[in-house]
Amino acid sequence: MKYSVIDVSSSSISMVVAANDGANEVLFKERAAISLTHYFEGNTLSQRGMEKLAALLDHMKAIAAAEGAERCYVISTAALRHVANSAQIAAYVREKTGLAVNFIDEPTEAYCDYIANLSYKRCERPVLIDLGGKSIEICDLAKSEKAEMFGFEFGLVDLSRKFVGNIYPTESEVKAIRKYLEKKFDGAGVPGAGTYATAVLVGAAAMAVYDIYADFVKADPAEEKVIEYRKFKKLVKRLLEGADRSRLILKNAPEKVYVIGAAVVALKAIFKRFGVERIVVSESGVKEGYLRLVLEGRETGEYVEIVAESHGIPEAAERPVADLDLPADDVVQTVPKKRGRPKKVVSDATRQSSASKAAAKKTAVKRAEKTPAAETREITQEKERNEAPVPKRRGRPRKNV
Amino acid sequence: MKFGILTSGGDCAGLNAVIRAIGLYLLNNVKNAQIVGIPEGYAGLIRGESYSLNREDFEGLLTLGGTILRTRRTPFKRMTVLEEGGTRLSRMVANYKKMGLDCLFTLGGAGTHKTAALLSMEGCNVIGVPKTIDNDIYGTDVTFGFRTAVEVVTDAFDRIETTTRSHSRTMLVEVMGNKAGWLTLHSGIAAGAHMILIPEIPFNLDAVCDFVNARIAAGETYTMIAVAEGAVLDGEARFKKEERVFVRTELGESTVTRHLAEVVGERTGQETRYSVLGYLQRGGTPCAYDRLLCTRLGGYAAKLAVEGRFGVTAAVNGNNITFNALPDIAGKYKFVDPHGEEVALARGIGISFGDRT
Repeated sequence: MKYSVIDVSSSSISMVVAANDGANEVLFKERAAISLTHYFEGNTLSQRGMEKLAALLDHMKAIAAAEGAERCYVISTAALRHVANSAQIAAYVREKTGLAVNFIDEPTEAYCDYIANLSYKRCERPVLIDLGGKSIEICDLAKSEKAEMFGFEFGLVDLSRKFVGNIYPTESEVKAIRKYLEKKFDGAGVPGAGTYATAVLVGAAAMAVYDIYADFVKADPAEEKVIEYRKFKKLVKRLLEGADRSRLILKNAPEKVYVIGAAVVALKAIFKRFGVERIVVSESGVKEGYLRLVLEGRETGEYVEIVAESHGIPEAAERPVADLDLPADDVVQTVPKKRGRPKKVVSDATRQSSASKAAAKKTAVKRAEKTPAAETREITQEKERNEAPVPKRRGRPRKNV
Repeated sequence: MKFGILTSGGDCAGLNAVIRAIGLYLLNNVKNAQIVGIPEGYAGLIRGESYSLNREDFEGLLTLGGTILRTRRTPFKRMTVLEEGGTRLSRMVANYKKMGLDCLFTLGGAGTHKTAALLSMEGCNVIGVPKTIDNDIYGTDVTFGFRTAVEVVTDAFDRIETTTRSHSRTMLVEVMGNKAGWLTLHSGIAAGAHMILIPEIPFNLDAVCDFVNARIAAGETYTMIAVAEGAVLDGEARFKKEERVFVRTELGESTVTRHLAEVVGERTGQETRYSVLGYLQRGGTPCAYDRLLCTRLGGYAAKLAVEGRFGVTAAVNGNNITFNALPDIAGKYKFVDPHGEEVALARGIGISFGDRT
């Protein structure tokens, strides 16, 4: 039997599917952005917000079913746990989708992060950090008990609301956030520099920050996701003062616009706190940990049985395609249909070098099926093309693949 | 409170109707509301130009085509490029503040919404209204201007069909829609096209010719084919648009239509013509549906402003007008689902999409 876990965070809904076959291998991952922050009225999720949430959950459920999952868990951490109308949200979601929302408490959230990232235990003095919208967890991977994890009942959304007047924090707001974090960390007894040698970042905000960082430093997507402090400092400066900061966010993490300022300030504070030069970004977080606990029979949340519908995945017509500064067909599809973590998928054409241009020319010219007129034209044009220099590509460099 | 309105990107029917609805709602519901029009879209905002709009300016706009504010395409890609005097974005933000705006309404398509999202992220209070004849804005069931364009294209089809039938020809009618084929699909179905070629379903040359030949063999004397300007051959589909454009430019073409007409004519033996509807599809008076939709969308957008809900765009969801957060829709497109109900039903009544099914 295959299981799926859908995680609702303040800026995205993500899903993982795995088989309960002993190996418990993750077979499929999916993520869709939703800017829930925009749909709040105070601490209450608006009717429109609930509609958007339910629609996206229904879509995810259909994808899970199409991937062969038969049992579906929906979890939400602090993103919905602290919302004033969380019960109403759960009821609405159940009515519209049949799904049951399991609200995960903060120690369990931290433990799920821990369980999902046990592989980092072998690193030197590792620490796990989850920067969430409504909570922050810091977990010493060398230890293993829930009680030994630091959990903070505030997150990036709270930091933004508390300290940031507009979208991007000003210099004084940056200082205020840093000071606040330091105070909270000190109060909780979070160790300082020298305690940890390997910092591991998890969660949706971490991925968003990394996506922006990777674009900024032109990181190779094939390499391990690592944020280097030296380069990160430059990114922070760019995001706080740069002329193209909004475009950088809009391109990579538009759903995080209201928290990205606080996120990078908090991350910089963590860099300094732990005195590390680089932070590894993990691709596994709460939902992977929760799924593992479910598969091992250690977590008994409410689930629903799901069945794949014959007509496949609904709303495919609204396949979201980012088109922010890449050429029109160089689009990034945010709903990849493949195994593994949903990486940004660049079209096949992008993967091809200039050599493919020649192939494209050849194929397209051949489309005339060699009518006499076309043949004559082809010969002339082929000759002209061979003689003409290939025009240089304009614009931003393409993403590496 | 002071409100600004701009129209950006290609024009379409209903822009004035939305301007009217916004203006009247604000004048009727906000005490001492000041409304300014910003000419030529974002270009006007970059230049810092605006002029007052009073109640009499909104008279007679419901049925008037085009946009009284004038419009212009201002490429999104250049918005954050550093120029003399800062980036265009920074100049827009500065002018927004200088004008003392409390809210800016941006009427436009996907590109306009991306720039609106940028402005919102830089602290401006922005509310979008989805405009495009392509109907490809993500998150809304329909955009204003689309239904009027469908009417216009369908009418053109009807007229072309009588000629095509009289002359026993195959006729290809090229319809606007580079990325999405909504306009071609809807008008093609509405006009009774025998084949519809859209970007979402790459077509096969053999399949197209076989279909026409089969019609001839069955005794049908003519064939009507609706071709979206973004339609692609199955062999081309895997290549990037710029590569296709490169090749087509060398062939002296911007779309596949002319070339396809040549091939179909040669391989079927039937006299084949093509017609590019072009700018006929954009302008003119909005149809009744669009007048109603524009009034609802404009009024709703103004209501959002009164409620202080910014960084959003009005949207149609079922029979309701609602809103989406700009970051949720910016840079995304809504495409025809090749396996969706509309396509399936069209296939069911014998319409071909030029593919090998």
